[in-house]
Amino acid sequence: MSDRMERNLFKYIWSHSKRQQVWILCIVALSMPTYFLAFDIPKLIVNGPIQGKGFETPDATQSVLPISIGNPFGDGSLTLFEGFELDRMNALIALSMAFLGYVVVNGMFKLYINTYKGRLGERMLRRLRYQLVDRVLRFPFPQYRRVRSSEIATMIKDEVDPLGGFIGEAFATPAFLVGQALSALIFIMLQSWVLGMVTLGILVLQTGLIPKLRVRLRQLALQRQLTARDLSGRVSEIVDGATDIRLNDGTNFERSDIADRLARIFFIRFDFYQWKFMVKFINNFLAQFTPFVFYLGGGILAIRGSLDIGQLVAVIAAYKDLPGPVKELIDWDYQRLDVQVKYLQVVNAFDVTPLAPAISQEVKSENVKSLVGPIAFHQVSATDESGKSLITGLDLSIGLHEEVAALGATGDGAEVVGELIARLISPSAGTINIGATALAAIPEWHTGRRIGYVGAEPFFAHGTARDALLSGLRHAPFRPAPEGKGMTPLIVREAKASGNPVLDRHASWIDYAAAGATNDQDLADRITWVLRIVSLEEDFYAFGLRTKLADDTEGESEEMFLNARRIFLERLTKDDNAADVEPFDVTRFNSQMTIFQNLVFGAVASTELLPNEIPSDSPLWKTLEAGGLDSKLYALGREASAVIVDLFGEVSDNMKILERLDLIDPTKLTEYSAALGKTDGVDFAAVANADRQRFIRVALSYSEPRHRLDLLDDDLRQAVVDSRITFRENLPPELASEFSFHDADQINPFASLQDNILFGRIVDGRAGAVDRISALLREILEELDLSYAVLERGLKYEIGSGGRRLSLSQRQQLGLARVLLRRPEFLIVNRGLNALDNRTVEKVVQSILEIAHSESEKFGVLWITSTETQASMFDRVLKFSRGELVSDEAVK
Amino acid sequence: MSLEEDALLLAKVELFANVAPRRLKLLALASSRVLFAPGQDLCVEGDEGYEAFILISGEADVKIKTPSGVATVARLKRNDIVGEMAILRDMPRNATVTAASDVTTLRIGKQDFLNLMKEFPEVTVEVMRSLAERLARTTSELANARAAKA
Repeated sequence: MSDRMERNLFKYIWSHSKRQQVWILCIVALSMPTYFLAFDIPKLIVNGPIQGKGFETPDATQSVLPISIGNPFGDGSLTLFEGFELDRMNALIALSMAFLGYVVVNGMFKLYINTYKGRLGERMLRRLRYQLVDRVLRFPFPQYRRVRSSEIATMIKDEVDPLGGFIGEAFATPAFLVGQALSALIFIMLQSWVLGMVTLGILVLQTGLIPKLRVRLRQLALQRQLTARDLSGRVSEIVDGATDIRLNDGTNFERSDIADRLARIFFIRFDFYQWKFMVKFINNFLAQFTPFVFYLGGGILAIRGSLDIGQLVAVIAAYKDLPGPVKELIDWDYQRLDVQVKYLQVVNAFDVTPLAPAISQEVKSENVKSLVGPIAFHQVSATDESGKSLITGLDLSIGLHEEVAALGATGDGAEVVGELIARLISPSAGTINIGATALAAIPEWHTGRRIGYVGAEPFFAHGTARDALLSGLRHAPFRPAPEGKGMTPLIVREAKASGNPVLDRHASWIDYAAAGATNDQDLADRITWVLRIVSLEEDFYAFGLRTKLADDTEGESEEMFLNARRIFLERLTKDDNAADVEPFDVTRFNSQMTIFQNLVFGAVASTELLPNEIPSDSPLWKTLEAGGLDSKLYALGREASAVIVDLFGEVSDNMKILERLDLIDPTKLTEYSAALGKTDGVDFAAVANADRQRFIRVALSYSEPRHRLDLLDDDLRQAVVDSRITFRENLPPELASEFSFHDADQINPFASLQDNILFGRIVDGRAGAVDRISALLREILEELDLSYAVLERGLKYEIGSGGRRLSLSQRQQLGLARVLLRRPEFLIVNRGLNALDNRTVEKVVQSILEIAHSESEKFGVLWITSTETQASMFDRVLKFSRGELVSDEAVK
Repeated sequence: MSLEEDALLLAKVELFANVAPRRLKLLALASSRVLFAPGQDLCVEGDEGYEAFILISGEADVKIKTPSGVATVARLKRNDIVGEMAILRDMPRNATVTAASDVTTLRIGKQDFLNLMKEFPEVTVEVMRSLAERLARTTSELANARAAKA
């Protein structure tokens, strides 16, 4: 099958649905007789049984419902069935029953035809959409840089949508309408040849002129579509680039750009409506012009006596049935052109060559065999899209199990070698082979499992970190879906009818064998292992420690974490590191926590209960009044605000510092300044509620080691500690469940795992305290066999779209981990860790080289870098300069 | 260990001698106190540098790796600044600094330091002066070393 898309919509429809189209045509034809007969029956009922025509005597009978085929305009019909001889009452009943029968039959036909057409259209739409996405997956790599993702998405989602509705109508509707129009025209012709010719003439004019006028409409529709698609592309660019736009004060340019585009769209649309209604006017005029000719011309002929008045009346009556179908036919034709344009647009965007052949992406659920032989470059040159030479005349051979570094600054050609092997770019000259096979001929299902490539910007779909890691293992449905979750026969049948693949999404797609695992436990071990190699284990471990215990406690008993807490306390004092942690003690003020945290002495269920978010009408404010705490906090908050406002001024250019302090919202400095002026020298009792709350919020967020304004005295510390109990007791019942207090013998579900085990806070400003405590924590969790449980919690971290909730270095590490997890035979890292500091990278390289050397794993590495110390860790170093390999040295 | 004290301390550092007290207070607010026990490293040669330290109390040794082992090249005292080099150029630390006693430092983040230099050319000039001094010292040491070798 050719990989080009069919450019003619009708050919496309016909080639995928000819049997169904013929079938629907037959059904439409079959429905015609009853359709017309149903029109005839009311007349028969009124004229016959009701008005009594033919039933003049009481026992008169008539033949009812005869069936005959013949010339409707003349004599000599062929009678098939004489009809039933019935009296007046029975004839009424029979005819009425027949009417009801026709109604039911017609309804059934209509139901069947519409359902059939609808399903046909939906199947074709599904087929088309699937084909488009399938093509996207097979685009040549440079194409991905050329297209805007949102435009592709809009085309697949919205622009092909009207096609579905049209496809069902594509053949049946015009056939039906042409039939209707022709019969009316022939009838007029038979009545009066002259009037028939006039009608025909106007019809020809109408069907010729209107589509011509609509050409402009179509052009406008096309422009409308293109500009709208452009708009959606721009909007998504604004969303994606919002941070950069705002940080560079570019919002107003974006505003003007959008306004400009909207203006263009507006004028196109307005122009479109003007034309549309103009065409409508002309069309209606022509349709009404024909009766005008009949009245005037026919009238003159009739008065002169050359036309029978009966004939004229019959012609006018017959004409009634003509404009309807003709108008619908013109509309259908318009829709056809419109849909055809849309279809062509889509085809143009998706008919990209050369597509990767479908066979290259075949589903392979068996283990793929190893690659054989060295990667050999012979006189390879490559250019970028602008035609600039990237590399010239490269001769190179890299063994599949060799560890090689390619050294060179960006643009010197080192990265091109990696991109060529990964086939992200194709050579403009020369050949690349792996063993005896041309690299280009090796299918993607083979390279995608045996060759690993990590670039500097790995992409992750929305999901958890664990999903991101496993996304490199989803090669094929390896194990069937669990009972009752698989594809039903109906789903399979429909998939086949629409040319969709029968691949079960709910099957287990994880390639355990590729990860070197046989079960989930193995896989968990492998995940820990790769995270350790890329130095990411600690990060996810830390994520895990930060999760609230309430978030997910399945399979973990609270008792185990309590146990960890006890052991931690023992070791901490034994190792003489007790000063590193300030424990939670209900009788003492904890200086590592904010005043609010000290007051609550526990954790809150939602962020709405944090000092800056508490609603102004919350009953919590009331609880602060006990013991006059509110006035003390007010005084502290006011003083802190005064210092901040004095330091930063009303309009601060040091917003970042202020933001980091997390005490006052930088955008509200002026409000604070005004409030300070208003409350200057005013007694607390006389201060407005809003100002009280404003300053108390500041006080609640205050912590001495962090803000160092020297505002906390022992008196206030004691007052806060004393208020802990009253705070709990005075807590309004509706909020009671939102707080959970620290208790040495209980797990706190709203507090983080770390808070729960440490049962205290790491002391700020003691160098190495964080490392020491983390190590101790680690040791204990390891002993209690809780490490993986914590890591797994960390792996449930939602990394956001594209992994944006991770730092760039974490994304790069995760990208490398994903590839290592599937154990490639040859690993290419193309500046894949360039956001990390050198020491960490060297550590990672060291670990990778160790595994690469080991008998059990054994794989080759191509490490592309600009850093000499990294390159010097490899057996062989290729140096690149200005697109050429300048040295190829084995280092010993 | 309040903000006021830290601002006064900063004023005593040669580098910040000409900076307005209010600005120093701001810098102090953006900084944080870090305590090191004897033997702990303030920074490690080869690491990425994201911060500078000003010694408030205690002493620290500056060590570099040489082919013949680790050599101590300087001893830092109260009001000395360390680590500003790594902030200036995006390169790893060129020396390891180890606390010789209990050391209290004020840690200044990279961005805050760079912002300060942008706002106060005096600070920049002061940094340049100290760099020039170091360069001169290094050059003469190199000349001495060569002479000794020859």
